[in-house]
Amino acid sequence: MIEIDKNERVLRIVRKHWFVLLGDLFLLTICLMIPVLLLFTLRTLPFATFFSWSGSSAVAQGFFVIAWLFIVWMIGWALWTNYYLDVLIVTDKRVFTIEQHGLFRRTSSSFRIDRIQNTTVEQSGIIQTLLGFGTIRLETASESENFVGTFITNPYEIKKFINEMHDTAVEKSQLVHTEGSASPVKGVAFASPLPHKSVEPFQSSDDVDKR
Amino acid sequence: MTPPPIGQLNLHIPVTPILLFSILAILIVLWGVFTIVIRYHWKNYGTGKLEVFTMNFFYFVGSIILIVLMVVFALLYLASVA
Repeated sequence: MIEIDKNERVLRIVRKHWFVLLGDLFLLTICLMIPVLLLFTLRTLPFATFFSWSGSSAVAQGFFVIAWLFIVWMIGWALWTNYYLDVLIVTDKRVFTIEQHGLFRRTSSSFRIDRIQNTTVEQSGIIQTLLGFGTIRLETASESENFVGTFITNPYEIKKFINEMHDTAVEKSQLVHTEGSASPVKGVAFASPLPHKSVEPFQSSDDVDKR
Repeated sequence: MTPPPIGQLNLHIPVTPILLFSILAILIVLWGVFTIVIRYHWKNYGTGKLEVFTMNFFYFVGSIILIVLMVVFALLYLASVA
C-alpha cells in the first residue's frame, strides 16, 4: 500500500516513458512467433511422426496455438503490471518512489520534499533527447541512498515542478518557524523543522540582562 | 557414437481429447492464481480507480475470449474423434 496520509494531497504521478515498453513488446512479439515457427517445423521436419492425432489435427493445432496465446497474454499483463507499478508520486509534503521488480519484489521509499537538496536531470543520447525522457536524481539532506529515477518522461518539467514544491514547502516551514519564535508566552519553544534537535526556550533581552 | 536421426527416434505422443482438456484445466487454474496475484497488486498499489477499472475490464474480456476459444477448440476436437 502507498502510505499517503489522509491530509496529504497527491499532486503528480510520474511514470516511466513508453520507450521502456518496447523491450517488453519485442519479447512478446518473439513469443507470438514461436507457434508459427513450430507449425512450420512440424511440416518440414519429421516431428509430425511423434504425434498421433485422435481427431482433426488442424483443430488440435488451433487449440495449442490459442493455449500458447493465452500464456503470452498472461506474460504481457505481468510485464504491463511491472511497468504500471513503477511510479514517482509527488504530494504536497513528500516524494514517494516505488519500484516494482517482477510480481513479488517491491522497493518503496519516501522523503520529505523540504529535505531535497539537489535535483539533477541527465539526458544522454539522441533517443532520450528526441523522445523527451531521461534520468532524474534527487539528493536529500539525509545520509540514506539518494533517489535515481530512470526513463522518466519530461524530466525537466518534473525537476521544475519538484523545485517549486520544494520552495513552497521550505517557505511554509520558515513561516511556521517565524510564527513560533514570535510567541508572546515566555518559555514556549518555537516549532522546529528538525524534530530531533533540542531547542532553547525563548529568552527576551531582559532575561539575559538579569543574569 | 553419433545420435540417431530425428525420424528414427522412438517417441510417440498420443494427442487425445483428454490431453487437451487436461491442458485446458491446468491453464485455467494457472490463470486463476495469476489473476488473484495481479489483481491484488492493482488493488493495493494502483494509482487511480479508473485506470484499475479499465485494466480489469480489458484483462477479463481478453481472458474470457481466449478461454472460450480454447473450450470451443477442445470440444471440436472431441467431436472430430467421434
